[in-house]
Amino acid sequence: MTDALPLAQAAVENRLLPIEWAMVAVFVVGSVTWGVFMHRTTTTLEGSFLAGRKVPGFLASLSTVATNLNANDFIGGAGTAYLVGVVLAHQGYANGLALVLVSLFLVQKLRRLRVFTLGGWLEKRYGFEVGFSYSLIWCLVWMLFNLGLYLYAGALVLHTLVGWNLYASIVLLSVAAAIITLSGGYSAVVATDVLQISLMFFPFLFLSLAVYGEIGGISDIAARLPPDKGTFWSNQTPFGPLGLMLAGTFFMGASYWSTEAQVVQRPLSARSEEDAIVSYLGATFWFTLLCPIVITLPALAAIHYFPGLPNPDLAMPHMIQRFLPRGLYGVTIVGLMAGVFSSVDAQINAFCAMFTTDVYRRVLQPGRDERHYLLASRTSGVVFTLAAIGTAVLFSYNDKGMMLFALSVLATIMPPFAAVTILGAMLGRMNRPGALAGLVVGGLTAVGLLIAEHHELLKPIAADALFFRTMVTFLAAAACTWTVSMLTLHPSTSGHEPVDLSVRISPRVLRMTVVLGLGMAGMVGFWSWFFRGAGAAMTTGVAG
Amino acid sequence: MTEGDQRYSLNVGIPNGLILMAVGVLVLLTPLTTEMTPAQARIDLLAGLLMLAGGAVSLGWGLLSRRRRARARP
Repeated sequence: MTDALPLAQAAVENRLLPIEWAMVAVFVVGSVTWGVFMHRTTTTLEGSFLAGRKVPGFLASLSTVATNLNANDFIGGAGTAYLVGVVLAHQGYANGLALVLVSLFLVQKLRRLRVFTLGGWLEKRYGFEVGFSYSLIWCLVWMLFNLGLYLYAGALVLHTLVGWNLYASIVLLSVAAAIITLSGGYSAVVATDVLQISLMFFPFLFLSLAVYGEIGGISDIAARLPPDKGTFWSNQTPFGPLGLMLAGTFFMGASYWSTEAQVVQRPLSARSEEDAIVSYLGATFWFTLLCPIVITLPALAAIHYFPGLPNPDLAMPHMIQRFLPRGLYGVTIVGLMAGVFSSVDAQINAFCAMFTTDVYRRVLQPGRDERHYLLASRTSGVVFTLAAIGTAVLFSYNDKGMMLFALSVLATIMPPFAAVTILGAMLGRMNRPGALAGLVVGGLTAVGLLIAEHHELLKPIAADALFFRTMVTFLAAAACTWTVSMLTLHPSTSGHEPVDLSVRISPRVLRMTVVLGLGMAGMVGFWSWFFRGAGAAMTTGVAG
Repeated sequence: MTEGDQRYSLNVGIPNGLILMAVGVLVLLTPLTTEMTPAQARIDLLAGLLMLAGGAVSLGWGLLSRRRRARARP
């Protein structure tokens, strides 16, 4: 995904009208008020971090979508589609396949142990060292970068589209999101998430309909694309040959959905194991079926309407300006703001949960009462938010370098933990020595590949080797975990309490999986049919 | 349903509905306060009505759930 940062150079000159200011005020005041009102739900750790594990699967799936979709996806994701072309749509079903497999074979086992975080599950599955290393790395490294990135990218979008001061936006977003989270806990986070879905998708649905209405239909979008961007089954992608991009997307998806802390928190908060599965399967519908319609297709149409943009991230803002009237433009701004809110408050809540339960309660201050830990959680949340504001300010000084660095951190730390988590959930034979060896070998592989890419040694494989690095790191960690586990003692002989790894698929889950499978196959057919590479020939017959 | 269940009940429908309806009303008012073509005004009108309707459904669902929980409370 390209970054949304150069939006600062956007030729978008809109400033908010008074009525649009009123929309922003309604959203911010309403969300913060609801967060404060939900304060009564945060009297226990379980209530504060996981809404008492009472979230229905449907709401948890909306929350999963909202946590993962923000301004970066709508602006930067569209920019990537504008730059790369329709071949990028392969990522939809490759990521969807990974998400379905993680839904069916992992998340119910995480929910079963009633833990607060993935670190807690890894500790029960393998032992303290494995779980604690995950929690420590996520708390101290990745979450800080990630929240800083959310704040900076979100503030930059507002700075560009609304004209707000960048640093004031960073502070406003972080303070409002922190009040919502630290007052209302996970319940308030879910409410913000659902609101975001309503506000964010609504104008983009209108945008898609307006584009199709004006351009004539999907085949007309395809006909207006140059052949290099209009061919779905093209073997050349910026991420290497098509097969490599597909495999890389699959492993990246599997890594992300199985280890990202704030995402894993959704199934953990579900009211049952079945609802935990639904929280991920429901999200798959959005990511594989809806997002391509409201993000990718309008971005492809932008190639026709705005060819040769100096920065691909300008594609979506230009389309918004061209197709949406002022009222819906205001909703778009509020929706993008809601997207930043929901990502930021989810990150703060996930940090509080992980730091308080896995680090503070487990290591620093065990044996204290619930009120003490709630106070520690809120205090750590405030400190974390302040630190993330600092990280966001750092991003503003060196946006490109920091963005790339953050992505590299992600591709380095995620796959080893994902391999250990997924193998641990699938095979009862995997044990602690195997997991530790997998983490070490996976980590070394990731760092080695990072250095190799820095010295341009991976250029012959792909212009952007992010997916390649993720795949190789995952496979190296998995191979090492499996080999060492098989060569050492069975976990049952070490006295470690066994974990129930059985898979339970209810009729509801089975129905959803079948529908999803058909939907994904339908999407592949859809792209293959409309974007079969006839663009060059047809363009000659299409005016303008 | 226990007291604990009540304490953690998630009432997403009410805030979602209230905020959606408020934003919907503002979208409906936009054509009256801003210069735009009749086609654009029609789109805003339709969008505003849909948001208002969606918000009302969400609010109704939230209030109904709240009433059900209140009745179920011993």
